[in-house]
Amino acid sequence: MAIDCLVLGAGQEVGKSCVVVTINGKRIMFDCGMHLGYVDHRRYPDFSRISASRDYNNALSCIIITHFHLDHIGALPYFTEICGYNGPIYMTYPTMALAPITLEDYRKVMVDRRGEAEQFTNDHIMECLKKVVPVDLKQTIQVDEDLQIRAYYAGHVLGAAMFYAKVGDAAMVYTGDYNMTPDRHLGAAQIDRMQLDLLITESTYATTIRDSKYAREREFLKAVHNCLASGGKVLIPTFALGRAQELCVLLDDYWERMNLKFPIYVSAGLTVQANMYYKMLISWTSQKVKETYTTRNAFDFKNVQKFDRSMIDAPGPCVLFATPGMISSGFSLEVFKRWAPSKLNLITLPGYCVAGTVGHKLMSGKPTKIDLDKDTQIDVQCQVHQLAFSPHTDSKGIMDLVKFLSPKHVILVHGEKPKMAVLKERIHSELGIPCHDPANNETVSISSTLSIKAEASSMFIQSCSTPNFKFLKRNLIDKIDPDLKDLSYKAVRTSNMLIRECSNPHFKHLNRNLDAKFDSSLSCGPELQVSDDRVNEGILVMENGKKTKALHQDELLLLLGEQEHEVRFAHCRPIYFGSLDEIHVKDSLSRKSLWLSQLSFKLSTELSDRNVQNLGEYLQVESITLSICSKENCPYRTTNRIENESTAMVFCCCSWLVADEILAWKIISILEKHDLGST
Amino acid sequence: MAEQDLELISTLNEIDEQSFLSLCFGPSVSIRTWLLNNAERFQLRPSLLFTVFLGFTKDPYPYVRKAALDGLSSLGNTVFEDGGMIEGCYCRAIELLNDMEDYVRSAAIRVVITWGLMLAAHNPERKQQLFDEIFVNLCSMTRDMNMKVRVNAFDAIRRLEIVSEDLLLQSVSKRVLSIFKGKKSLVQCSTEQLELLALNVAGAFVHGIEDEFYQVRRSACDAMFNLIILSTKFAGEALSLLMDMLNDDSVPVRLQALETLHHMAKSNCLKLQEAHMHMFLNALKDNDGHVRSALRKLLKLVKLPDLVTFQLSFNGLLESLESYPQDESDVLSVLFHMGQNHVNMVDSIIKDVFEQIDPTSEGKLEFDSVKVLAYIVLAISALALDNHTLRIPPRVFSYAATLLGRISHALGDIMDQSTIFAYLLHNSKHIGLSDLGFNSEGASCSATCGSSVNDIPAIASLKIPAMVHEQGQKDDDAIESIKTILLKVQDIWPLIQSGVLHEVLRTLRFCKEALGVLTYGTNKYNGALAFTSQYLKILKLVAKVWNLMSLKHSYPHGTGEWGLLLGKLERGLKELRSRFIGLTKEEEQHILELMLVTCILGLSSGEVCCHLTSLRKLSTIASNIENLLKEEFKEPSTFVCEVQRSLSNLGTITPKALCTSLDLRQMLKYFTLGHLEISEELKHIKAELVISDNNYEKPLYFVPGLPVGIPCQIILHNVPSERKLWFRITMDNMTSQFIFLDFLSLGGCDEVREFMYIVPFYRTPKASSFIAKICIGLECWFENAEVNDERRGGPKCDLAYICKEKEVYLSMIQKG
Repeated sequence: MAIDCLVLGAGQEVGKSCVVVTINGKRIMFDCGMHLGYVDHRRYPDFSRISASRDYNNALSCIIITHFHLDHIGALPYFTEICGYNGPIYMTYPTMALAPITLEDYRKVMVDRRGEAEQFTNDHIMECLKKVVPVDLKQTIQVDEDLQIRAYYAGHVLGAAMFYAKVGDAAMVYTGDYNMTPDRHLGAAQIDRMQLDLLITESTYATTIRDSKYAREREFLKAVHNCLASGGKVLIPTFALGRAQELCVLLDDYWERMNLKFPIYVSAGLTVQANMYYKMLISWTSQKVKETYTTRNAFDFKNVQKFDRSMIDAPGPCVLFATPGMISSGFSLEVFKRWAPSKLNLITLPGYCVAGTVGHKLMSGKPTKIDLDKDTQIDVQCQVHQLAFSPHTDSKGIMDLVKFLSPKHVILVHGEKPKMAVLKERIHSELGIPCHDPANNETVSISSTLSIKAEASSMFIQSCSTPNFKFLKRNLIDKIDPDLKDLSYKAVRTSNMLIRECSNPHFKHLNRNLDAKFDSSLSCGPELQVSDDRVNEGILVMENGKKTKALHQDELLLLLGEQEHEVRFAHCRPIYFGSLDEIHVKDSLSRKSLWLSQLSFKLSTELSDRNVQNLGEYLQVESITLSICSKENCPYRTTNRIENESTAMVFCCCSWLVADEILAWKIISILEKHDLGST
Repeated sequence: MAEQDLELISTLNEIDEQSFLSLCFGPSVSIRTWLLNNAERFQLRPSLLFTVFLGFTKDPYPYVRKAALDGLSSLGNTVFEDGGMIEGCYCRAIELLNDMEDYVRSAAIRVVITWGLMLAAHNPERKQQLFDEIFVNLCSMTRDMNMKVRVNAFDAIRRLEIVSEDLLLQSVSKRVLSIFKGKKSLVQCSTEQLELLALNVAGAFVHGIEDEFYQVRRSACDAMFNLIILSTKFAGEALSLLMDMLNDDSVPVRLQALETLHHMAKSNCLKLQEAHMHMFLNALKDNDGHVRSALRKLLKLVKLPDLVTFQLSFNGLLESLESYPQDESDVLSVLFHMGQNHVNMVDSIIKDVFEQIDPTSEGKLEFDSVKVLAYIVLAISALALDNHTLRIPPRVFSYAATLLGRISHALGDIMDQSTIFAYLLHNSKHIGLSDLGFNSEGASCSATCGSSVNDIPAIASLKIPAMVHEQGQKDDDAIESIKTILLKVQDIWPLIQSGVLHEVLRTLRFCKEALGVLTYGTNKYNGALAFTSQYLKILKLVAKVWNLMSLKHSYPHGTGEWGLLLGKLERGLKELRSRFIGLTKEEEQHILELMLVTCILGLSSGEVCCHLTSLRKLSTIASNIENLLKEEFKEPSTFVCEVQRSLSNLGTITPKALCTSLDLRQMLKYFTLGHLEISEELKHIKAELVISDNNYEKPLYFVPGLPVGIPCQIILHNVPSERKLWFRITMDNMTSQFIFLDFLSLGGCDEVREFMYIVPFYRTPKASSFIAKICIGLECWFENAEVNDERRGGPKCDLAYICKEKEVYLSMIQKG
């Protein structure tokens, strides 16, 4: 079986996230975003690729939206209302609450400001949202009989989630946008360790490694504090959601701790409304906010007040949050015009501003004059501080997540092509996980876990439920010859192969450990190792026309009606036992036993840690048997010649199982030395 | 399972090794888990436990694995000789760090660190390599998605002692350092492996302190504790991280960061830079008192690199004082330590500053401001070192002397309090009161002051009592200090006369504070101490009353405050006279003179009703003095003579006339406060009264009209057998009842008597509950009782109370 992954958007680019994944026959669309950089048909994903007949309701099992940003949700009203998708849509509660605000805001901007023909109406948005099924974090939703989905906290923005989807035994995670380091108002992404076939992750910062945010916060607070202490005003242009709350929490907290009394203002409108949402959705915020919630709501900012337009020219220091973030228009521009000419004042800019805005001009160099339009020129004397907070994880975070989840395959989306290629290579080389970075409209197929229902025999079940662990002493390996090491390694590998056949998750997990252990054991493994046989003794029997069965290994022979076969290795070689004359015993039987006891003594002194048993007819060490060979033509003999008749050269025949290969060769070499030593 | 059932518990005790094993190997997972979790409750051999635990780390059930791992970590205390066993266990735990279940990973971390340390102890030659290996493994766990796993990982790192510098540096950088890239492998692993290793470690601490959960951040700060001493470079990096933690929103994290910094400072690897100072000193303004105090503790140790940072710290401390005046003493103490650590910097600062401290030249510094205080402490601190070359204007010491209370309070733990005091007095001895800027009206006062200060034996330079004083030494110091205080106190009389109440009170306050410091160090002179403290209290009252009297021109006599203060004063003197054994004649005379003054002050209130009794008192006291002096063959002082002369003239003048005449005031003018030579052998009579197990919720029960017994535990100190003790029980502050305490029959010696006594209370009211107040009084042999209600029989003389009044809760007994 395979998982097919069709990337409709955000493949090797940022914008219009949309991935359609087919797992074991179920089709899920993750995100349905729009590209803000285009105004033509390219702004939406090419939905026709999902179904040529445009019968989306049958083509898709469900849509999952990770968060409310336009590049993740922007095309949703279009897809449902214009293209006619009627199936279920899943998103978290906060996303559902905030989605209509952003969508409506965008629609207004499109229609009212740019005068474009509207793609969808306000009614469309409302209709679309009626189809949404809200989900909570870690709540498992049974979409249909086979398909399970579950949301995990992703950080990034309020309500952002990663989604886990599982059909049968095939499972995957789609991350959406996420943040691996917490900020002041949102937590870090959090997910459980699971067996995954596929991980689709964003890769906005595929190569960046970000330093601690504390240094930036510290600089920011210092700049603000100094400005206020010297009587200046601080203007913080922000977008309504996210950054504004982040900075509000940061400042409010600092005010509290330093006992500052300077007023902090928030311009009315969207920010106030957004703060209200944050207040209601406390459980989606960071740990700190949640913890303080028992005493007070962290978004009930103690020092934050609403701003009134008349206060722009009021004297005295203050901090003001004003929209929009890039000082392109509106209130933040209005305030900027008044405050910029004073040297005392401070403007803090976000990390990124679109070219052409006042913000952008301020960031590029330090202008003293800014021409707003032909008639207006602003005298800029104020200080400018830049403060970048990114809600996306950096490349270390992506690597950490991939390492933690250890999926079988990784697909990168939502990033820049060259950087994604670098990250892809790193994931492959450092973590050993195959990684893909498909472009838009490409499909990636990966194999997935096959699940078979099997009956278990009662003996197998009993064996499974009864502990049966053994300890292995591995000290022999350290002592063996270097050229024998290869052999032992091979032996280990073959037994590993056997274990790997099992498909039960527990077993598989164990294999991975075993692999790791064997790799390390060759260099400097511990002497004492433990294994529990019951977990790797199962045998899967698949016969045509019969039910699949899992059996205990002892049952196999019974089932097949066969005898147990052992493959034994054998070797026969001459051994020197001193001159015949010295031996007074004529009886051949007693002579044999004398030789054997001599050998037995020799071996037990050499192999002090092994139990050498003398069983009369032959010697036994583990599975190795050693006997005096009286045959004329032994097939295992390498040399048939006894050179000196006067000396007692006797043939000695060894045989052993593959497991004792190393020990056997060691014994043979002891015998050889015995031989040499006496001549 | 068996916790509730006693029978089961007893059967559990019978489980031996054989049955334990057979149960463990049975098919039931829950029994297996329970047995592993409770294995310690059975008497099993450690080697057997080890085998069982290690074996079950392979169990497919995660809870069994966890129980087995927990068992292994608790086995960590047992000594195992077999290196192979230890290594096997350690390696198995490392495998389980990758377990699917977070609780198994948590448990595995604990085993890795416990058994890893054991392994290292077992193989000292591999220690370095093993510690590195453990560090790498633990660091890779700090990026786990589970909070508890991360906390455990950092807690485990805390226990490591040696880690290679390269790895440490990698743990504070998210980028893979160049040492791990490309370079030929140091150990036996290949380059790729080395880089993978570095990836595991990369930025472990950076992530740790950025964590969402304060528990993780706190553990991360703590984890650096042992590691910072290993490498200077690492310490530098760690310092930046810890500085950021001072800005953390959680108090435990800030405190932990400060503790780690403190450890750094102690180990001499804290290198502060100017860039750090803003964040660092901001913590001085933290609104959490513990954080501020932790930072100050740190500042006492820190070596500051240059003058700029020193000045910054100094300013920071002063600014914090503005917001938190309650921190004053600690801040001053910090300044003292800072000064001692940076003598040269203090030199250059002080030189500039003392130009400004001058009340007459209207410098920038306001006299008496906290800033001056701070500079003075700084100056003293440098002086306290032996080889100082600092020139400090003597005027500074005169300021310091007036601020002694505050300084000595702050430096109480560092410096011998009386030494500071004597030292300051010594250095300011050439300065009279007038120099201090008091506008004293009396011309005589400055002369008095000057002469008295000159009498003080010059006590040499200050010493820091690094060495611990012998108790005897301490006692001697104490009596010396008491004497010094009494000398100082004597100077206030002119001040009282000139009406500078504020100054008087201030002097008395710091005398009292100085005395307060002594209270903790001495046993021998407890009596003298108590006496001095009582004496100071009385002087304070005298000063207040005097002040009121001099104001009396302006408002009518007999106001409440006046009466109240006089009452207090009389009671105080009475106690002073009666509660001390071993008063010398001089002392007694001194007290009597003060009593005279009090009487005259009382008379000047002009209330006729008081006059007769007051006059009677006056003559009694005067004759007492006369008798005393006769025994000693001494001449009475001018004041006493004047009083006696007035009393003999009394027959001709009506009381009314007496009080309006200026006669009284004139008499008071003759009074001067003589020097009080304190006797070292004074004993203080006091009692401790405890009514155990009685409070609002547990009252004593009574039947109205019938007596009720109040069980009292009593300890009497120094009550001579000839004195009489009485219980006074008051109810509703109205009626009181006296019960004689016949302590002689109860045994014990004069010094201490300890006994239980049931005090009967007769007049139980018809109330459902009430509170009685009980205390012990000592009969003053010199005065007749005023409170005595003759019908019931009671003390013949006035009582001086020798213990605190205790409340007794009583409640009517409920029928049924």
